[in-house]
Amino acid sequence: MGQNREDWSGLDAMTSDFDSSLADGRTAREAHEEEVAAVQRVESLVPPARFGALMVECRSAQGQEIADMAARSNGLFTQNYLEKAERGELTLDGGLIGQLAGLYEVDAGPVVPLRSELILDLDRQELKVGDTAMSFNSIHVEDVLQGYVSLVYKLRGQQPGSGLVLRDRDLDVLSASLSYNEPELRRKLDAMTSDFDIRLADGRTAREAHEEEVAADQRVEWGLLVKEVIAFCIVIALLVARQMWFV
Amino acid sequence: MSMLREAVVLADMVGRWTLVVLVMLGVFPLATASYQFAIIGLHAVRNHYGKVEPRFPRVAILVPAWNEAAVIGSSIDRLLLLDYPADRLRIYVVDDASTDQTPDVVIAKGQENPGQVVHLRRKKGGEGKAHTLNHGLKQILANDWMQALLIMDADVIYEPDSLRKMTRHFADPEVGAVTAYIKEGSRPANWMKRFIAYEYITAQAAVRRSQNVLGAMACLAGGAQLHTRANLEKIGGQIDTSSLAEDTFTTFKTQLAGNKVVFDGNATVWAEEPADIDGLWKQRLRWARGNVQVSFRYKKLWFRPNPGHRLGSFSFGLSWFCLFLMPIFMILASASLTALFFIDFPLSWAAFKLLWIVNAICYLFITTYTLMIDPDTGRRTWREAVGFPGLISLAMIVYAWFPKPFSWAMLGTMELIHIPTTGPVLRLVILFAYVWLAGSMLGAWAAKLTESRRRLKWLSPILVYICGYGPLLCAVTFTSYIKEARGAEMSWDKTEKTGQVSMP
Repeated sequence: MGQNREDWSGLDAMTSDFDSSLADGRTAREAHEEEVAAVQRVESLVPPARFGALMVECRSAQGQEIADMAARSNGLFTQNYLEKAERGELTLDGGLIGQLAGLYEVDAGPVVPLRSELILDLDRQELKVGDTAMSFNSIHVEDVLQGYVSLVYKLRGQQPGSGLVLRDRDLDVLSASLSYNEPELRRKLDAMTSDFDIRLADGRTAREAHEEEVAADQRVEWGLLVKEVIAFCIVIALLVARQMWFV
Repeated sequence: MSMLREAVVLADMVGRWTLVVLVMLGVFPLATASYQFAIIGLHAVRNHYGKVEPRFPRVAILVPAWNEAAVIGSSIDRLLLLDYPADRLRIYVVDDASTDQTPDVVIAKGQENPGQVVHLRRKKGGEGKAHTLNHGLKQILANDWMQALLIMDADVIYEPDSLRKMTRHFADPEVGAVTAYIKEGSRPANWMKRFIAYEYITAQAAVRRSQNVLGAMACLAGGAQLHTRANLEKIGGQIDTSSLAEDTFTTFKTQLAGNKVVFDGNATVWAEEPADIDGLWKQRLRWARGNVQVSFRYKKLWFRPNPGHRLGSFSFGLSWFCLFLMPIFMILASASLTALFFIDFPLSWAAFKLLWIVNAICYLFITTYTLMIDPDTGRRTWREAVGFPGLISLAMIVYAWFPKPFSWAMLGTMELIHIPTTGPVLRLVILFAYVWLAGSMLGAWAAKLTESRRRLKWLSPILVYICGYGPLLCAVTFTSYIKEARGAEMSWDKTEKTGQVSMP
């Protein structure tokens, strides 16, 4: 899914000739079906707002306007349609997500990487994927999901709060283990991962405010260390003065 | 015969040095406080900021209220203005059978903000804050909405960013509770409030940072304690009602359950504190008695390191008991100095000078650092900072720092006002100085008594400045021992609030 526009044009060409053999021995039809299935798996987990945010992020990184993207799509998408998609107002199916991802060059690699199965151990209060584990505070669903989100960020080496598309299989595991219905689970996870995009009173996103505030608070703590050294120096200086002149 | 003489000499020497050791117990509280202040610098590298992320759980704010009509409306309005997603915030006011307009005010606010402000009323009130909180807690825990619970007081003002600065710590699943920096915010602030404002820099901004470093928190501030739902459920879903220190019990239970308690010194909350000695005495007596109860309830915990928590660490135990036993240390030091005065004057003088030079060093370090930790409050309260130990003790500190100039000045002044500077008079002055460590508590107690006499009321602040705010707190702690030993009734005296508090 992480192809650029040219790659997607290539895929279009392939689908027009279903029986062509590919380098890995699959037919073009088989390859196409697998790609679409993969995209649909992702699609079923992509909250429109989240995907829209990813689109905006990629477009901004390229320094493009929505009109540029519409032009780049060669008439496939109108500007109005893209605006709605970016605002998360559209329900997108797998094919559309694939096309939009190609158009915007949304890199799905780090978003949905291949990895081992998720293991949820409620007795030990631990989530595990391969050798990476994450403990959670209690078996309360919120805590488990919080632990899961942290684990996924850790596994993908992503900045907490960056766009996160979750795996179907993981949700199956969580849903079965927690006896929680999947839509509700998705809603909760979506809410958790979208905390970073919440707009604060001054218009900043929570992520922007957070970064600034943590840096400022950390500066305060370093400042206290400096002040402590100053206080200590005052005491030492006075002690020396006392011994020299006042005893 | 000579063996007997040697034994007597040995016993005499042991006795004298035992007295010297007891004198040096007077150093313990300030020396331990200095240790706590010294490790604050480590907070620059040993803090929790590395594990925070934006988190906006659904927060239920629990506000216990009894006859708070004067302040509750504006408190609710300010809470609604917190920089926090409105759909993730609910305010539950637990009205403890108020007899004023509190229910009307809260109900009106509920109608203005449907679903966001909830009025819960107890039919029978006056049982104390813990009972009131439990009433609300039971209803809040009954449904799944709440993910975190903020317990606060009706008059407290949260800075707009303070709640989200507290919730961000929940990104670390090990954190069960977070507390904030409570500052005295009365405008205008009288002498007592200024003393408290200064005290809060030491007790909260400073000491709680050091407790962050140590990994053991003594107490979540009653007006600013945020718990995860999981933590509340883990500690039984209830606040302890068997003591006067429900906040401290909650804090201990949280840590004993294996959860971390974090102090965020950059999340600021403003509160109104007592304006006179009587109000302070009632409030602190409740806290001090609660601390006595905690000390005994967890008697098997102290100085016993445990892998699950840090409450049993030596350093935490030391800081807890140095504060808890401070009046006893002061009395022992004074009594031992007085005994030595009559047994071995030169030794008593040497012990006295050592005691005061250590105390003077600690005092200077703590005071200068405290004023720099919170410069805004420091500017308002520097006089109270200097006078915290009382003017007489301050004179001894000055003497310890500058013995020669002080002696010249003192003798010169005595001559000027025709007080003889002969041996007996000077010895009397010295004896007074020896007794003063314990005597200052009596002086502070006298300040409390004069406040209740209409004609002598003017004298009470003067006595506090002379005898010291610190000794006043020690006198309260000493009274708490007596009350607890007698099994005195545990009454929950609410601190009177006037709604004077505001953010600068």
